[in-house]
Amino acid sequence: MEGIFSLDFLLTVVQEAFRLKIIIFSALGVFTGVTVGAIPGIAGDVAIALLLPFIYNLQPVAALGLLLGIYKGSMFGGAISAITFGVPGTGGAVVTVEDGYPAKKNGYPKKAMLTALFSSVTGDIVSTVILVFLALPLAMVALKFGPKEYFSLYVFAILMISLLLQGGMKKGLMAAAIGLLLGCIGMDPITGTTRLTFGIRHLRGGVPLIPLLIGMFAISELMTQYLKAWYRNRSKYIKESELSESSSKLSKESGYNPSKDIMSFKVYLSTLKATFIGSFMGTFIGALPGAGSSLAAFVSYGLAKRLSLHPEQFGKGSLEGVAAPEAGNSATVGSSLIPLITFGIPGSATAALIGAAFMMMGMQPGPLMMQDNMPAMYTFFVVILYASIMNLFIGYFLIPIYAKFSMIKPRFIYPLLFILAIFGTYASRNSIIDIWLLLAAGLLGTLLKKAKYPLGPLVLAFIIGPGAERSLRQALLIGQGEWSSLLKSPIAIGFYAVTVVTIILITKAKFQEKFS
Amino acid sequence: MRMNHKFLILFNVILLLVFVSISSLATQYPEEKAIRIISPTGAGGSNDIVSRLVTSSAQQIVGQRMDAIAMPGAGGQEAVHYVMNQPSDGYTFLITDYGCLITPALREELGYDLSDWKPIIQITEYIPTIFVREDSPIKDANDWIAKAKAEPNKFSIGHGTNLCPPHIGLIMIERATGMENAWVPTSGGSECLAFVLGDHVDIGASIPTTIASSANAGLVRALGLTSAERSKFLPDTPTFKELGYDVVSTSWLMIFAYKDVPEDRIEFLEDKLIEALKTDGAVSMAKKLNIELFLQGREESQKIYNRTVEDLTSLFADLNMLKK
Amino acid sequence: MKRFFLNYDLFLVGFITLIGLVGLVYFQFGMSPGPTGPFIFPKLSCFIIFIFGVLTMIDTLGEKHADTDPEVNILSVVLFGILSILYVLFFSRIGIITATFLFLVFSFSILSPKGVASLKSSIAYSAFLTFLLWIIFVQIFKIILPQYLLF
Repeated sequence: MEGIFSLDFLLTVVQEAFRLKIIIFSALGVFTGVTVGAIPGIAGDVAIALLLPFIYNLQPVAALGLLLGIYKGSMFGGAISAITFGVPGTGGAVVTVEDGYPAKKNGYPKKAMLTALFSSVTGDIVSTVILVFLALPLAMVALKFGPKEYFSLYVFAILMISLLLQGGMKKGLMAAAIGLLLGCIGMDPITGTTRLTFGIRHLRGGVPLIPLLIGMFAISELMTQYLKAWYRNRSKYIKESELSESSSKLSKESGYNPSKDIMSFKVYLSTLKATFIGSFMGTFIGALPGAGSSLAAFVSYGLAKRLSLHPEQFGKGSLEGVAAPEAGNSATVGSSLIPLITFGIPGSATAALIGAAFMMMGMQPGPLMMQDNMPAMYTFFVVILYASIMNLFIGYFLIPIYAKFSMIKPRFIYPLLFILAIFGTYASRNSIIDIWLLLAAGLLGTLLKKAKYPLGPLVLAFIIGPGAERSLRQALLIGQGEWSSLLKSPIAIGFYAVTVVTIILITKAKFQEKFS
Repeated sequence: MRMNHKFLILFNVILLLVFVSISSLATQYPEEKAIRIISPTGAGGSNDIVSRLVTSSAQQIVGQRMDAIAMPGAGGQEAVHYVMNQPSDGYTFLITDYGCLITPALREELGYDLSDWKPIIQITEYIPTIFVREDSPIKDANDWIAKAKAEPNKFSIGHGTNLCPPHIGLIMIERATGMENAWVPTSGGSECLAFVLGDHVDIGASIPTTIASSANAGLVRALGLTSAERSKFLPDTPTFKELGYDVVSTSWLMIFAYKDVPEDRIEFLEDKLIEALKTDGAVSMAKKLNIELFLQGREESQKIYNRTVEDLTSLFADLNMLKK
Repeated sequence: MKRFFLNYDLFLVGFITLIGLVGLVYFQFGMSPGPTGPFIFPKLSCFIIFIFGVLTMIDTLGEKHADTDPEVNILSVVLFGILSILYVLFFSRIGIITATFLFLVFSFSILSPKGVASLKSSIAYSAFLTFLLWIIFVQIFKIILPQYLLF
């Protein structure tokens, strides 16, 4: 360890990390990730998958820089789409929509996007610092998570989110159960038995996430707003619509006032608590293999709401409600590399890609990786850090452009959003059936929205349901079918205890609210 | 306003009819034809890495762009059906082990016959490997077998997905030894390794490339392999055959063409791919990626494939797992 | 009963609760037993849907006014639904690029307050946007889109 503090070592690392090729590819990756991730309809994972052929045709070092850049950029890019259009690009961005989209409707999209950017970068840097200095201890903690522990974490997350988001508790739980049921469609995660496919071969792999997400958010929003856009223009009662056609930047229809949409250091400080909650929660959850950035975003949001001084603002455009999930999901980028580097176990699908790139460079992910490749690893850490800084500058540069897009008149935006949703869904699996699923999800989302069912718990349960089921059944297989074996873990007991306490506190608060 | 609207609607309808009536002139957009190798497992996984090794080594020699595409989903059937639905022009192939192609087809009707698939080359072999944590009370394979026979289902064993090659290897070991263990399917080799390292399961069943780094670091210990010979990644680990149990169960990784792909195209690719994978560049990249190259041409691959189909059919028949 | 159908909230929760009940019955018979079987989770989900559905229905029956979101207009949903189905049906027949162009022209001009006077600009915007989409998806990302017309 003394070697890493010697001047020679530091100079080698800095020289390698700041090679022009790596800088250029990292910057290109961030720019591409942010831009593609910000296109509503193109999910973050789709961005990476579409750019994969380019990545692997490069030299491994440049490929790593590009991949890291895209990974980080697309995390933040998803927030732009969520805030500007109310269309989440990834599961984690669903929570950003909860407060980000109302923020835009309330007239401060730029402030929301900048909050998302700053908290994203903060989360990223926190998890990278923890990766560098605390990788092994955190990995040892992560290894303690087995089936029982994962199941308890998923139960905690689903219950917390169902109870905390806008809408009644019962409707939240019903929405979560609908999400669980939708997640059961297809092959079961343990035996591969097909369920609920009704003979449709295409559903054997389950309902794909992208059509569900985009359908429930984008298509349902379009279904409700499309006619309004037509009606607004037609109505004799809204004479301003004639004026707004010729007005320059300020649209009176949307009531946008740029002077109210200015970000300041004070605003950033006001969201700092939520940012740090997200950063640490995201770092921890990112280090758990397979847990996912969506779970990190949801749990960060839930915790931030519980610990906020103004929880009543959440769901109505609270900037804390934007900062927490964004910090949470970005913090998973660095920490998902922890199990990869320490034990050769990729923490996420993108971490697996990064692992493959390492292998192509002759570096075997695993316990000996650090010790056998110290200069290369520290070079990599430096690149991760400056990619975060690049994310900050590039994001800062692109935000004003996206803020302008958010104010384009609805009659142009809605048809275009629809087309992008169709193209984005088709791009992911080249399947017409996915398009029909997209429309069906849109109808479902609309019907549920009309009756005020929150969509967040549904999406979270859909995403983590298969993992929760797998953990439950694995735990029961290990425990020979005994339900009591689920409690034979102090970590699991801890999560269940926190869940029970949270339910009691929330229920108490809701009763008090109802009868006050 | 109303007149304008009516005119607008009429205009749009006429425009639509015009385009629909000349739709017969539609032509497929000419696409630069690249050879695509489709892998049914996720990007970054072992199949995908081998697939990238093939495409990057063979591009120059084949003289055409080659793309490695990962298409996970539905237990591998997304990729399988994708390749099936492509034109039989010899530009789209499948790279897989038997777990995603043969096993599912023996258990349910999936719209293809196993004889529809023609192996072109075999690239490598996956050897099911049984391993434990370094500090496990199980001393060696014989110790495990003795304890497990004395107390059925005493030990929990993590393996990959249900009926994946390591799981099949495990089933064969149990049949040959008469022991019973509690099987715990996982999402793949990485999760299995994590469960063993975290002491959530007693034993793991995976492949050498997944556990090599942990084994070299002294965190896990391999008990035995189900191959005919020892693996060069785990030279100190005995095979179950050496230990006196008649268990040989390995999984090949092959590139397949679906039926009707022209013979000359398959022959051309067989020659070029083998040539490419024998180059120094390919051999050294394989070494970096911990891939032990095990090249076989068409004829030999076909024999191995047929034998695997027979063996698995017989195994599933015994276990009452064949499709009705 | 009339109130049941007029009250959208009650109707929807009743429908979802019914799905939960049907699911519970369906998964009860002929499915492999035991907590480690493949039907534990669907059963659990249907159980939660049913229980909380019944509780929500009880709550809703007690309310004087339907608790629904007035922003969601059913007519809008139906009209957009028909339009989107037509679009998807068309694009598999005349190609996605052509169908997209037509859809955009239709949408921009129908939604415009200026009626036919906006047709030229609608066509221009639509052509430009369709071209941009073609560049991004076909040229840059190399996605093979459903067979399209003339180019």
